[in-house]
Formats: sequence, structure tokens, C-alpha cells
Amino acid sequence: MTDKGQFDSRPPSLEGSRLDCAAVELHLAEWAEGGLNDAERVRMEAHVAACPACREELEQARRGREWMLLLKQDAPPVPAQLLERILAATQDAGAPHAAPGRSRSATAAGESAVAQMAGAPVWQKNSVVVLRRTLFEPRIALVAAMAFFSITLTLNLMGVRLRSLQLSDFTPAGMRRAITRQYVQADSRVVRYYQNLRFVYEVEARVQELKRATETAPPPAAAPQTETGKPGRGHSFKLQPGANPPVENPADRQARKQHEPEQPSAPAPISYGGAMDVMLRITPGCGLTAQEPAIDSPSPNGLQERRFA
Amino acid sequence: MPAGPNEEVNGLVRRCMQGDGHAWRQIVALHHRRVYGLCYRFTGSSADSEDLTQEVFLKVYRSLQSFDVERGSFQSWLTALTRNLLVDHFRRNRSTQGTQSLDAGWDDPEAAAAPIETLPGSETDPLTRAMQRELSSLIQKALLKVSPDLREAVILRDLHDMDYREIAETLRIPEGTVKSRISRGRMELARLLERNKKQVM
Repeated sequence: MTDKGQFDSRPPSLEGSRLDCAAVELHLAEWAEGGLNDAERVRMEAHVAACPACREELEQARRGREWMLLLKQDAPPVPAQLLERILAATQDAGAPHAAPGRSRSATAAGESAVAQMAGAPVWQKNSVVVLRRTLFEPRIALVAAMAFFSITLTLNLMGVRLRSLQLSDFTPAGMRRAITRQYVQADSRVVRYYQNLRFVYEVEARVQELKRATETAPPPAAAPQTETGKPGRGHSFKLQPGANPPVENPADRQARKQHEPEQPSAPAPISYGGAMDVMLRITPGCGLTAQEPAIDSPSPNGLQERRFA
Repeated sequence: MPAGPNEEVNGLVRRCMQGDGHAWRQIVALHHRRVYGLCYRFTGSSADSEDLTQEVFLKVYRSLQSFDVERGSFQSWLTALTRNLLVDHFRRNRSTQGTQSLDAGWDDPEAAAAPIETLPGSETDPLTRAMQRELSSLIQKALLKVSPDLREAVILRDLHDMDYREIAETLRIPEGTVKSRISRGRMELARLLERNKKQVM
């Protein structure tokens, strides 16, 4: 039937000489039921004879009606206990209206007798079935699973093991104790971490100092050897770090000698001071960044250790 | 059931509103099949229909005082109420429509042990009976595929014999729309069933 009629502004009717498709549509329902009078039917049939589209629709509508009538002959079987179920449910709901009853007690008595006849287990069984069906609905099951996993994951990241939890952990005192312990543990771990870091920096600074000292001290002794050996390689030494004693040619040495007063003093404070800087920058931040290592590396035995300690 | 009994039903409603439990029982006994049938034809699931029917009568029970005996028939009021619950039910279940076929075995106690009333006058021979069962389950399946707007109109007209004006009032749409929905629904049903038939053959 689509939208043939939508573009037709005239009110469709069976009057007038010729029927349009919109009028046919409007009377299709009655036609399929045999509800039109003779004159109307003749006019419909005249249109349909000339309009294949309407003829097809008319045929379909008529067959659809026939299918429905077939369905009507076979009324769905009503579950036998439905009436009692309804009465029992309305009985539970209390008075039906503003006038709570004079005859209310009589009603209740009648209905409870009815409920007894039907037998209590039926209701129980029914509610269990309904509950089971609700729980097994895929959507609900999925949501429950998601919630469970996200909670477990969060707890896990916080260092809580579900298995090692006890009821006593949920008392306010127990929770405070656990939190304090966790904080202290995390704190000491952080302190240890930065102490290690500091040690590394200090060692590094020392090594650099030493290196610079060896760079500046030995040149006079080493210089003659290289001068005689390979004069052309003078400039490449800077790229070669490590065990080799620094090799310089005299011109370079001369140039360096001029900078000597600044050179040894300038890099040392920078490098050492750099390490100190870093440490100073890190140490005050200790309190702020304290949680990070705790989250990144959750103590797997956080609670267990505490319990067995 | 309707026609003459209209007055009778109104009398029952009045008595029920005065607190007559017996009248309420009679009302439920008179109408629950119809409500159940409407729900069953619309949802195709007997478990859902049972729950829905119960829900309908709970609602009727609670809001009986809001029914105006003078203004309309109890039947259309009941039908409108049922229809509203059906629409709610449909919206709630729209997302799980796809699982319907999976649940079919669960929801259909027709084959299960649940005691079922046999219809009066169905004492024809078992073979005819079985064939009719088969046929109506085929039609029911096709009906479920018809879009709900058209489905409800066709059910109310062809299965519940409501006239166009009554349907228009129940669904709150103009009579012309009712007619067009009914015939479109019938056409869709015929197409679905005939396509089905071709597939089977």
C-alpha cells in the first residue's frame, strides 16, 4: 500500500465516478471483511479490474484476513492455574480501592481458601523459575560478570587479595590498620628506592670526577709518545673514551692550557650539582609520588605478609 | 461475552468497588481469557502472557476506582490497559528480541507438564486437532514478525472483533489510520506466510 495516498490531498471516497487508489486503500479493510454494500463493492471491483497494484493488495489483504480467522478458531490454551494466580496476587496487593472493606475479611478468607486449594508449592516453583530466567538472561549475566571482574581487578591493583581477606579486615580499626601499614610500606619502599638512586648518582659523579682528574693529570707524561708516533691523529682522541690515556698534540695542549683555569672547575660543579639537583628535585616529591610505585608494583603478598608477621 | 453483559459487568464493577470479593472473582473469571489471549497473540510466549495477564489484573484491582462506569465500557478500558502494558513490555524486550528463538523451548510449556485447560467444543478427532495446532503456530510465528503497530490493530480487529471506532479509541489514533493499519497488517501477514510456504516447498 506504501504511500500512494500520501500525495493525494483530496479526501478519498467512494462517491464520484472514478475511484482512486487512496479510496481503495481506505476501504480495503472493510472489503476484505465483506463489509461493503453492493454498490460500493461494484465500484471497488471496477477500479481493481483496471489497477493491477490494487488488485494485488486486495488479494493479499483478503488472504491475510483468512489467516487471521484460522488463527481465531484456535484460541490459545489458558494455563489452568492462571485464574487462581491472579486472585492470589490481587489478594496480596491489599484492598482494591479507597473503601477498605467491610467485607474485606470475607474476601481474604475466600481467596486464601482458593490459594490453599491451588497449593503453595506452585507459587514457589513459579517464582523460582522466573528468578532463574531473569538471572540467566544473557544481558544480566554479562553485566554481573563485568562488575565482578572490574571490582576484583581494582582490588588487585590496590594490593588486596580477595582470598586472603577476612571479616576482621572490614572493621573500621582493621581498615585503618591496613591502610596505615600499606602507607608505611609504600613509604619505606619509596625511600629505599630513592636512596638507591642517590647512591647511583653519587657513584656516577665520583666516576666522572675521577675521569676528569685522569684526563687532566696524565697528559704531560703521555704526550711525547704520541707526538713521535702518529702526529696526524691528534684530533681523533676526543672521540675515543675509555682506557687509553688521552693523546694530544702540542697545539691542542697549548690551546687547552689557556682554558685550564675554567675547565676543571666548570664541569665538575655542573655534573655533581646536576646529580644533587636531581636528588633535591626528587626528594621533596617523595610524598607526592609515593603512591606510584605502590600501584605499579603491587606487593603481591601485601596482606599475607602482614598476617604472618 | 459483550453486548448485553455490558450492564452486568458494570454492576459487578460497582459491587467490587464496594468491597465485594466475590464480584472481583467473577470479573477476573469473565475476562482473564480474553486478556491472556491478547497477550499471547501479541507476544507469542505463554510465560510472558501469564505474567502480563497477572500484571493487568493487579493494575485493574488497584485502579478500579478510576474507571468511570458511565463513560465507557469496562471491556475497552481493560483492553486499553492491557495494550499499554504490552507496549511497555515490547519496549523493554526490544533489545532481547533476538534471543526469542533460543528461549522458545523454555517459555513454551505447551509441550511441558503444565496442566492446560482444553477448550470446550474441541472434541474433534485428534488428527484434525493436531493439524490445526500446527497451522496456528505457523500463523502465530508469522504474526510476531508483523510490526507491532500493525499487529495490535489486526489482533484487535480480527481476533477480538472490536469495531474500528473502538480500536481507534483504544489505540488513540484516527479511524482512518486504524483501517489502513489493519489492511497493511493483513497484507504483511499474507506475504510472510506465503514466503514461508514457498520456502517450505
